[in-house]
Amino acid sequence: MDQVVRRPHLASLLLLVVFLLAPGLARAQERTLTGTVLDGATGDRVPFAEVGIPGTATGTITDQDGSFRLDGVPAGQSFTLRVQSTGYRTREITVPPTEDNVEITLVYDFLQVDEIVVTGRATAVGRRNSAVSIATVSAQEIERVPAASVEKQLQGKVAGADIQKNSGAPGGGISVDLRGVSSIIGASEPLYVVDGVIVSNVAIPNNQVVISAANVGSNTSVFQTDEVNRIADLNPNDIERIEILKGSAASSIYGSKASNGVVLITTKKGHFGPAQINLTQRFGVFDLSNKLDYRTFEGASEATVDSVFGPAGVEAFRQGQFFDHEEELAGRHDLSSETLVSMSGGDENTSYYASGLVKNDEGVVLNTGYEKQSLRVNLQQTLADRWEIGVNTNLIHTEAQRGLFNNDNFLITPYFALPFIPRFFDLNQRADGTFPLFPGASPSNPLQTFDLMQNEEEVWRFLGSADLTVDVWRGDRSTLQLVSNGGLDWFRQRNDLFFPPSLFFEDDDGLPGTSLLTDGDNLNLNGSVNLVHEYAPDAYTVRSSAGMQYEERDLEIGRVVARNLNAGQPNVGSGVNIQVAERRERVEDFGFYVQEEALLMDERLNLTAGIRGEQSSSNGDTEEIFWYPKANASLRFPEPADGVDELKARVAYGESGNQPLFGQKFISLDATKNIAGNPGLTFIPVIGDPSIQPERTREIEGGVDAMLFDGRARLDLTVYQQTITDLLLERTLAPSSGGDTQFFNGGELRVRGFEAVFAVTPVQTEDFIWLSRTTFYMDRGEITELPVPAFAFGGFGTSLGAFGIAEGESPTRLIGNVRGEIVEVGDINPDFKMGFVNEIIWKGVNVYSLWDWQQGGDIINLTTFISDLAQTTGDFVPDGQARLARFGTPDAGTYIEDGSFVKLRELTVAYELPAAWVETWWPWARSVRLSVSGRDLLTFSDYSGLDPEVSNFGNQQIGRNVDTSPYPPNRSFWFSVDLGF
Amino acid sequence: MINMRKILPLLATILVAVGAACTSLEAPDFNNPSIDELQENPTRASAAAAATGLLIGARENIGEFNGYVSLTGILGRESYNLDGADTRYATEMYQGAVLNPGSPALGGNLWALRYQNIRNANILLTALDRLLDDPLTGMTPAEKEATRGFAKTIQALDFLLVINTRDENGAVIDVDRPVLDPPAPIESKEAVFAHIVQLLEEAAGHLQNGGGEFPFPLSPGFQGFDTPATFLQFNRALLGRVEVYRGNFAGALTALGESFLSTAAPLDLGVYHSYGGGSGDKALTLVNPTIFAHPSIDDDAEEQTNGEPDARVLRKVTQVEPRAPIMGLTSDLRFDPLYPSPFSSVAIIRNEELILLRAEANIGLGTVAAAIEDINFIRVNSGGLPQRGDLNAGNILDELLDQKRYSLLFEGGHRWIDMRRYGKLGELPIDRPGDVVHAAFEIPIDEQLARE
Repeated sequence: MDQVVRRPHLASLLLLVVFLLAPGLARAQERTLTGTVLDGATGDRVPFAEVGIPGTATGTITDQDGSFRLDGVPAGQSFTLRVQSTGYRTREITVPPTEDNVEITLVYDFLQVDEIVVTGRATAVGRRNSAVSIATVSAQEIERVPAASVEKQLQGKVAGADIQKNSGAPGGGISVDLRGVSSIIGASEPLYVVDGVIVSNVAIPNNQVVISAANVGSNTSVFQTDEVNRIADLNPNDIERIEILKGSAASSIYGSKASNGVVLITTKKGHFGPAQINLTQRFGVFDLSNKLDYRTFEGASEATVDSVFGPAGVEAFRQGQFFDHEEELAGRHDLSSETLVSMSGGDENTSYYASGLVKNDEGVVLNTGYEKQSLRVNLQQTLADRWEIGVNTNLIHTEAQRGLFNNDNFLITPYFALPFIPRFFDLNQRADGTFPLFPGASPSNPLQTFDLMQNEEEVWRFLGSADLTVDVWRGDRSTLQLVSNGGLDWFRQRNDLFFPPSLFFEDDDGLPGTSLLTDGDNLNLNGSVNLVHEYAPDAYTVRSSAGMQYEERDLEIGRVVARNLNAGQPNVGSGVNIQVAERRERVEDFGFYVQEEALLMDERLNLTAGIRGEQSSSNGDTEEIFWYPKANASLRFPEPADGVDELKARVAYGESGNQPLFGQKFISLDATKNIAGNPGLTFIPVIGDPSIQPERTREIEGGVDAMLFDGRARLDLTVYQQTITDLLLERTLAPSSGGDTQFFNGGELRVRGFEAVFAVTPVQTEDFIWLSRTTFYMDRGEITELPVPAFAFGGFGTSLGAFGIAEGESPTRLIGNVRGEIVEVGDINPDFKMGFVNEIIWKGVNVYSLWDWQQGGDIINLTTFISDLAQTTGDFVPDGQARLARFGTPDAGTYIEDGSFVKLRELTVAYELPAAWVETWWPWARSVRLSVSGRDLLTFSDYSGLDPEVSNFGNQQIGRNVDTSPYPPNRSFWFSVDLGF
Repeated sequence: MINMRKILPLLATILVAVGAACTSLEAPDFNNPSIDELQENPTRASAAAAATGLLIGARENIGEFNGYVSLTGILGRESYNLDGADTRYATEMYQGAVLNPGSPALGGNLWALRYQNIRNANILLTALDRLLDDPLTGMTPAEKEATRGFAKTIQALDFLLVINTRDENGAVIDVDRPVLDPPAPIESKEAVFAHIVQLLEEAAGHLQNGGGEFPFPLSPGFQGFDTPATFLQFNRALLGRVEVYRGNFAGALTALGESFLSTAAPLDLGVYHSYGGGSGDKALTLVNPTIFAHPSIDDDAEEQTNGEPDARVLRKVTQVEPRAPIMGLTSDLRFDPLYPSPFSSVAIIRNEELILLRAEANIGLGTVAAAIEDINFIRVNSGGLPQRGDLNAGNILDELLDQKRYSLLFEGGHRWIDMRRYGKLGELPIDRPGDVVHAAFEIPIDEQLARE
């Protein structure tokens, strides 16, 4: 099918409607065709496949058993029958005049040829005609190996999406960077849209900096707590498909929230047919995958021990005795599990999908882990033929315990504390329940810390949306449809951190015991109305759409810090010294658009143009309308050369924006302080700009997509250039002015990149299929204009390496002090990244692997720096000594390391039990599938730290790749049973 | 059929028109009041809060673990910050030709946060000019005068702390201009002192017209100095210190005479920064596990007649388990008795210093006998030490500096500033071969760049 279509589920429902009308239209010279649709690889029957005769209203949908009955097909003549089903290649067969029963096999659409991809807020087009590069990931690719957060399941699968976990902590905390850097200080994460509702991906820090004092040194960021970006709450198993709009050319219709790209998530919906129940039970374990292995002091002299640890070290020193503190802390293998139940079905007018999830990940570190429970109900209802209503609801509860990691100025997080504790000193709990303390630089025993402290993050979240589609007008050649959507996303995040007075480090401030309570409350409200008009005479199709959207985001964060706890109670009310803080943010946006799409020249030429206008309360002038135009075109050339089935050339242009952050327009006084209870106002030295406006990204993208070797291979090549102007910047003021910085718009950033996807079926025989897909991408950024003096950003100052923002340079380059000169010492941007997906299907056995290769990308390795300072790095003699000597010259390049890696991200071996066995042994089941799988199983890297995927400062495009005592990396192994009823 | 091709653009136009008409997108700042509210429509309450705010601003970066007391303590060899997580306090502070001008935590804040409070005072002074004379909604002329005198005195204190850290590198004076205007020139130490004296004299004039009470609350650290008349004594005390610093010893004696100096009053009588544990208040982070006292404090201390060390050492430092070395530095002394809790106060200026300043002024004027009397008063009453009978013009300066060292130990860089003023930084102890004693912080890099 190659005509312009509406969103997939609407298309199938419409077909259903048509089918229901069909019997009444049946005429005498017609016959009935029956048949079965089968999966070519497994032989399984394919339910819900659309079967029909192209160009007519004759069509139906296969039932639960993959069977169909099609009335009203022409009698006495052959005709073309088209069969399509999501995830499979569309197939057309010729049915001979005499044939009344057919068996049609479908092939898994590994090459993603027959997908439908989004073109607007309410419109979509077949990928074959898409003029922009849009990546899609299907449920099948998401579900293979469990992960806590959906971004983790996209890692290595999408060209142009640099996805990195910030640490090994259970739960989320994953940065998604689409097509390079698009902002210096503005928002850097893509926009997430679930079933048409813009959902929050905010990351609320847990306030552990109160304990770690991470923000009192040279970098005052409070985002040093390994915080979780809240998209992690979604249940990945509910996702039907994900479309990724990587740049402005594709995302322009999302206006001033789209310059970092848009991730569109569609959840599963019910289908016509009897109830279908799927049950998946998984068991797994997490396993520490890398250690630092500190110096053992085997054979060391007392003088050496004394010079490192002082007299206490000499006292504790026993030749040949050493403890593996890392293993003691992070060597857990507790059983993790995931239970999934889903039920779906429906009749002519109503369909439903309901799912439940109970997940429990046990972290490798003592007392850490992640739990998630989710309940989803999606309903679709057709009313009076022309009305369709959909309601999607999802209730989620998550609980994360992530320990105490990341930067710290008190030497209490594990990789800051352990270097100062000799490996020959026993940290384990004594028989009397107490813990020993080594009287060194670290005031803590990490085993005691993790045994007694509590760091809990609990989230309750509700996602709800309703959509209404009305066929306002249906003519022979034209239709008018109203598509409206409204929804909300509410969550409450509560962080309870408790550090009892008995912790060794707790009395250091004279206020024994600390309890921290953070309460984050977020509400996103969305509403939109769209009109889609389609005019389709024989020769061409023209579609016009227009719509408007209102969006509101309200975030409130309340914090309580209680110290000097009465009787050591965790309740913040028991604190003798209490600090309270609140922050509120609210953004209201209004936008509208018009768009025109045309399919011409026998559907070979696709032209689109559109424009969006948007106002926002975050802009200085809330009345001003910012315009975001787009235009694109693609042209298909059938069989241009031998071995090339079809070639498509495409070019697309689009503009989008990146809103100022809340507060960047205000010039304010600080009303939160007092002295001995007397309130006082002081000037806030970070000054807003009352005329602040969104950053603007202009993207031009071009590419060629080729279908090769009779549909056996597909090659997509894309080049793009993004020019970002009106960057949100902070001008550093002369400190004597009393101001610190001021926000303003200015400058220009350019990103150029190249993306390639090559998908191929190298082998395809009756019972053996090998599918292979390779993705490649690279991007380079340059600041082409900077109206402020070059400045250092992020990191911990130029003596250790920081980001050097300067005209004519890469925005991700690292600079540092090398013998008195500030010079470039690295760049965190990888040279390129590649992903390799291979899948082998052989008689019900399915072997799937995903390798992820990153070449280049530097890391500031402060974890090693700390252990060098402590003189306890494993290779301290002589390598660490040499590093320290080099660092003292000074040379900020000393602790900057290459972060290249190759990781085996996913590996699955699955076995589908033959239908005969199932029927014999489990007659109550429809299908049984067993699988073993693993995630992040192998890492090959020269990086000397724990893991080259690291970010002390959370999700940042500029500022990440700083390694400062992260949660250690781990791999997971899973055994799963899937049952279908 | 209806020609939808014609209707659609019409519909689209309607949509756009409706959209454009129905928007009123306003989200105010929920977190803080706007500066315009104070500067353009000041009220009695907002002006009073802005006045109290000057004490909050003046307290910023004083008692932090890397604030004024801590960093000047390191340079004056009174303290260490043995921070294993950030060893620059044990390296950069002792190395190089000059201190690094690039780091806020290692000197930049000592400049920036003082100028922030200088701006706070200028914002308040602007607001006072617009404030009505009505005592209910505004302030009476006398109340305004009292507030002006208060603001300019605090401003003078901030300028003094700036020039104390920058010394010969100078500082900026003319800062009451829009933040985006080209920055004012950096002027000499002498010019800055002159400006401070001018501010203190202007403030004194305002305070004298200021009636009986301030129209805003001061912190408990100002107890006894919280009316315009008593606050003037604090103003004069600051003037006494500045006049000593710039060598105007006669002026210093006059100012000290009008201050609260008294050998009959407690030595601790004075003005302090208050810290507190209430929400929105600030705790003192000098009480920090990484901050230690310099071992020379114990080693150099004189003994009392009973064989015990100087009573000031006993009052201010305590012995603990030796710290594991950080970059070769270690100590077994902490300041716990001096700052026993996170809510202890930090002295701004107090009677003991004033007595020593009077001694110093007398030394400068050659009236040694008066100086000997004050010094011996401090030796006996603060240090528990016997009077010294051998003091003369030749040795009295060293004795004064010794007494100032122990009397004003770790209270705000007095040791470093005093030794610098007499060219004696070379006499401070050196911990490691190659260590240097820096004489001043550099002008911050951002201040330099803003002038390029």
